[in-house]
Amino acid sequence: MKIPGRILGVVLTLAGLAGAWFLQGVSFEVAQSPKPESISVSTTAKPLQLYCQGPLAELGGKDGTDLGSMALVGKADVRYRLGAGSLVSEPESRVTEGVAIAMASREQTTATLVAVQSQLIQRPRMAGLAATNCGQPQAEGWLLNGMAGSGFESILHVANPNAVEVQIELVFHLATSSNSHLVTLAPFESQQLSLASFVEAEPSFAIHFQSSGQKVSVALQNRSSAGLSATGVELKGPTAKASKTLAIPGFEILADGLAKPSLRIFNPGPAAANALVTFLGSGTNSDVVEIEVPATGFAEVSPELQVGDYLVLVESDAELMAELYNPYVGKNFDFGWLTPAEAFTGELTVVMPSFAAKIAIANPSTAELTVVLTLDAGSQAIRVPARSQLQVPVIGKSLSLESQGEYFVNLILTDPKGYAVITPRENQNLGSNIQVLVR
Amino acid sequence: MASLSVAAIVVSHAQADLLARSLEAISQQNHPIQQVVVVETAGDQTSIDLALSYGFSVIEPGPLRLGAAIQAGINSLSDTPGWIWVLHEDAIPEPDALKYLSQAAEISPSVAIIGPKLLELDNSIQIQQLGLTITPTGRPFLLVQREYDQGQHDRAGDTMAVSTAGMLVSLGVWQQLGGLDDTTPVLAQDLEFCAKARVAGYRVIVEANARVHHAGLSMQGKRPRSWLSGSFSQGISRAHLHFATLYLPTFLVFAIYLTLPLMVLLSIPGNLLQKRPARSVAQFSGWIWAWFSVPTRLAARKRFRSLGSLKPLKALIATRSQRSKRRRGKYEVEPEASPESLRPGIFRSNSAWFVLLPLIASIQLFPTGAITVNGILPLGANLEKLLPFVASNSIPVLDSISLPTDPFNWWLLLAALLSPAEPSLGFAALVFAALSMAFFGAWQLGKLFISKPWVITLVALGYSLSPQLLTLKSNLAVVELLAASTIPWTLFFLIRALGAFNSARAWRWAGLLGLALALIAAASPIAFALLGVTVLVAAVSKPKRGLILLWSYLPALAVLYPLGRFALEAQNWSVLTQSSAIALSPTEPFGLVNLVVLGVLVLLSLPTWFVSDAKVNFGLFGFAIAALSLSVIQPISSSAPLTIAAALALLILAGLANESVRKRTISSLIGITVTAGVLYSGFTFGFVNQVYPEFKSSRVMPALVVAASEQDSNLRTLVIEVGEPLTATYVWGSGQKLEMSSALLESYPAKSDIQIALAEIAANLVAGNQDKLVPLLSETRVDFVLLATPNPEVEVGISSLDILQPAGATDYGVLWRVESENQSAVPAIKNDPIRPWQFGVVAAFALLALPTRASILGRRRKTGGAK
Repeated sequence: MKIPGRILGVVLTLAGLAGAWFLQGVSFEVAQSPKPESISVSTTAKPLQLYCQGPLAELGGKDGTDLGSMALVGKADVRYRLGAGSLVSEPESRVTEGVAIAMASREQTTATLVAVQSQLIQRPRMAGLAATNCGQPQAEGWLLNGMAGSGFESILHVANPNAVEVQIELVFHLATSSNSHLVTLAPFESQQLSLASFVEAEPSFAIHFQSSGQKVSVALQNRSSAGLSATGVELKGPTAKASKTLAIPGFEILADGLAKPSLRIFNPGPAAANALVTFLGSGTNSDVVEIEVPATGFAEVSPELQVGDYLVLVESDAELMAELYNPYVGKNFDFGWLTPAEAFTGELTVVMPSFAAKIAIANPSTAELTVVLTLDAGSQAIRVPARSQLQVPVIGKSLSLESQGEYFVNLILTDPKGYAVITPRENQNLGSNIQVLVR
Repeated sequence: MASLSVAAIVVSHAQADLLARSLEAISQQNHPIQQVVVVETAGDQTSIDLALSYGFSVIEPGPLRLGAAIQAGINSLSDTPGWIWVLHEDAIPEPDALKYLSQAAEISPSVAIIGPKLLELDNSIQIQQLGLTITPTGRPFLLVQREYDQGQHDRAGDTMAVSTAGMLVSLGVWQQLGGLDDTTPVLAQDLEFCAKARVAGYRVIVEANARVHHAGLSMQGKRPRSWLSGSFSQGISRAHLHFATLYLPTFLVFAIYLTLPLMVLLSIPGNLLQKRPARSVAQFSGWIWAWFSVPTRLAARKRFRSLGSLKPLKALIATRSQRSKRRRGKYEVEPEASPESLRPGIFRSNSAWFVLLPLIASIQLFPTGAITVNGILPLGANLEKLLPFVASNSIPVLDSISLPTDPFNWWLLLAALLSPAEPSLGFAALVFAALSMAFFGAWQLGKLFISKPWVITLVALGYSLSPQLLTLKSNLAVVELLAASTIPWTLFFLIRALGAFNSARAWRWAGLLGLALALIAAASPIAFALLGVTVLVAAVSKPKRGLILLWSYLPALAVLYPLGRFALEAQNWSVLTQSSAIALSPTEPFGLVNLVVLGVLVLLSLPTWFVSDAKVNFGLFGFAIAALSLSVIQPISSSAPLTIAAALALLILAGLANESVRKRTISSLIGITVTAGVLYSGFTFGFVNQVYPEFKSSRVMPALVVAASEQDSNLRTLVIEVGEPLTATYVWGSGQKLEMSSALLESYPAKSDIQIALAEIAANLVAGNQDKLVPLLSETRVDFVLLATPNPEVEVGISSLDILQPAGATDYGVLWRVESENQSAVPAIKNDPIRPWQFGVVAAFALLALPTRASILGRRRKTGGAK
């Protein structure tokens, strides 16, 4: 081929390549694939069952000298609210042992059945207010608020509300090690277990429990003392599920200058995680702390905060759990563990023990939220600004909250002799509107 | 002495050029010819004028067949001769031909028919025919064929038959036997006529000194198809059946006619192995023809046998040694001397050692189990389990969904054939070997264009270690990787098929090309579209091999048939590009890496316009531009194989450009730079950011389920994954394997009545509600329940159900066995009746691709004529 022909070849080649480049603008429409649709199925749910752990347990008798003695002391007040449905078992209002409340109902929410228990105790070795939500038995869960070491005592309450025997595996996660223990419970049996021998006086520990069969009810009782003086007591059910975002509403500085609150973060995952903790003050300063949480380990945050109330947000790149220790000084010393709240939308019913109470409603989102609060006295719409919380004093036996948006709630109980925080939970067995994707 | 009276009958059919040569030769005969009659059966005026110009008689009897045409010529003779000399217009006798034939007739009074030595018209030293006979089954057999004439056969001898071209026959015998029978297939007419003469007590001989040059238009397929009533192969097939009917014993004839279909079928593999697929078509048409003309054949048999005993024929049948000699002779050709055959091969040049580099780059993929990353599932437990899902038109989802399984399953079948007991391992081995396959393929392709082994090696390494191919390898984009590794082989097979010197070789390369195209189509239909067009262009550019090349589409079309049928039914042609559920989604064809690599290659390859053949430049640049254009236009599937195909073409052009650099320093400098680039690419894209293949065992369900599925293939497991929403998967048998997937499932989600029941089962399981569960389970078959995501709450709920028997925690989740008796019928998969044909086509091409004597012997041959 002659030179002009070859040059033409080069030109054609470049033109062809340029043409391919310009074809980028051309595109064909491709039909979008339809998303697979799930099927909504409703079935009869199991009867809704709640379990109240009953009175607090005292180890070593009244004086602490009775070795091996473990006894439930006093009576716990149980308050509950019933919705539509038929009650399977109804408890007494003051109980001396753990008690189950069961109700058969098609639609299951806190409006169907909700219960709390409380006990104000004043004994030489144990004083304070212990109040907790009576929750649904669980197959497994975590308890983060273990306290051991000097001046602290932890007792685990385990109960089997079923007609068949169960075995519960307890795994104690300490700072550097873990150990496990098996508990077997006969039908309807409950046990209290002193944890001193399992946790090696560690100041912080987490407990994971898992039932081998039916669901069980587990709660952790903590007692503190200074010398011979009792400085508080508390009873708390399992903590919230691990999540990348946790919200703890209702945190107040209640013992300024005397004792410091402390946020305990636990990372159940196999890799270390970074957590960003934000203390969003209401009418006061906020604080942000970044901390690394080791794999299967703890991190403690002790914020230096001014007096006031705060919404605590924990955000992380991994799923974490948290509990906030909050000391209280009134007529007596006491303390409470604040658990991350569950995100609610729609309606929530809360039963209130007979103590002065405040409901802390948090809105960690970036948009304002309206919540309708209904008390015996009537209803009131409350606007919660973005990334903040409101604390509203409440009176009565129960209250209900309703909102279109997502809100977080803790119920704060205060008494001159004690302090407790109840974290409401949804009460529901799977049954209605289960979305199933069938492949 | 010329005492024999001979009249010549020349049968002509509109071939004036040849007729002119023939008539000229007749006019120069040393033996007097009483009369020459030209019988023009096509009424061609040029031929008529030509004959008249020689002063010969001419008749135009119309479109008669050969026997009637000769008879018409005889009838038109003015005087009755003793002998007639039959000639075709494509037979050119030498001046002494008739003299020698006449002498032979005079010497032996018992001789009634004498045939000359027929030589190739275009190659006068090669014998075309020297007597005819049959094989023991009645197939026409040439005693001498394609031998150089060195006088080795120059003895007059008895034979069963001679060709009508140049045949000297006693007119009395002709009339006694009734001449040629036109109800007989054309290629058996001379055979039958001569055999009749033999049976009637006459001799038929060949006079080797009488030489006639014969074009053999009928045998070369240059006559109108109506002349032979089909192709030459069909003519032979019919001649075979006809003569078998005449010659073989009655019981055998009936047996043959009854078993003809079976014989046709059984002979297909043999014909394919001999690279003569057209023979099967001929045999098929022969069978149909024979069945529809039984009375005519039997009448011919009766006439034949009424002439006398067949014993004289037996001694003249082709002997075993004659037959084997001829088979051997078919493959004797001269050594090839094409430029690429003189270049050192990959092994002779020690370039094969460089395959270690792609192997090292793939070391992480060394097969130790089933690859289980990027959605790649293990394959069926063995070949038997995998096979039903290849080319299937339904997938085992819910109660069987009518969607074609992925074309990529043909690759999985290949993996299963490599490792029948552990297909997953075979598949992992294929993926591991992909870069090496690409290297070898690119080397073989490069050798067709480039002469220096080191440059070819650089091209092959440049391809197999290109950033594009290594990125596919490192990301375990196995579908595109395998497609890209097959592209150089496809082009190599195409070029070899195009350049094959005989049809057997062409068929063999076309067989390989067909299989390669099928594999490309199975992995990347869009790349198949590119290569399909390339094959078409190649076929048009070289029509001699074009028809054979076009057959190579068949396997790919067979592979894509289920998708095509679905596309037609759904009126959605975009599904034709969806080869696999694990294929990549569309990517940016002009990403930074592609731009850099292609840009450099364009710069390196452009100088080839000034140093290489324009045809090569047009071909390769055109291919690259087409590949890039297609990769840009199509938004449906990954364009990676197309971009890589473009890079391959540019690499070869760059190699050509580099080869032509005269200065050793510059050439070495370019070589070193390219080597450095290849090594950099190998390290950066081959080793950094690799996706680990996560080799696992090929079991995807708990051992208990797998064992139970061995006992009961209809077993079903409901796999529950807790989440928002709850997911319930109805799993067949031993679990979901890669071959069970369909890329179309995403576009056409499964819908079935069973979904409601399964959703209710799942909901009642997680709710722990047994009351509704029992009737639901009897509605649809669920043998096991597997909770795949750990969720103690749900686990406790399911465990509380009496109807489920806990089967323990497994690696795949918590398992329960359903204790109820499931009575529901399990729907069976219905396969398309076309499916066996799909396998048949692929198997036929595999037979074509197999190297056999037909394609290996005679591999080397001088091009451009013998020297």
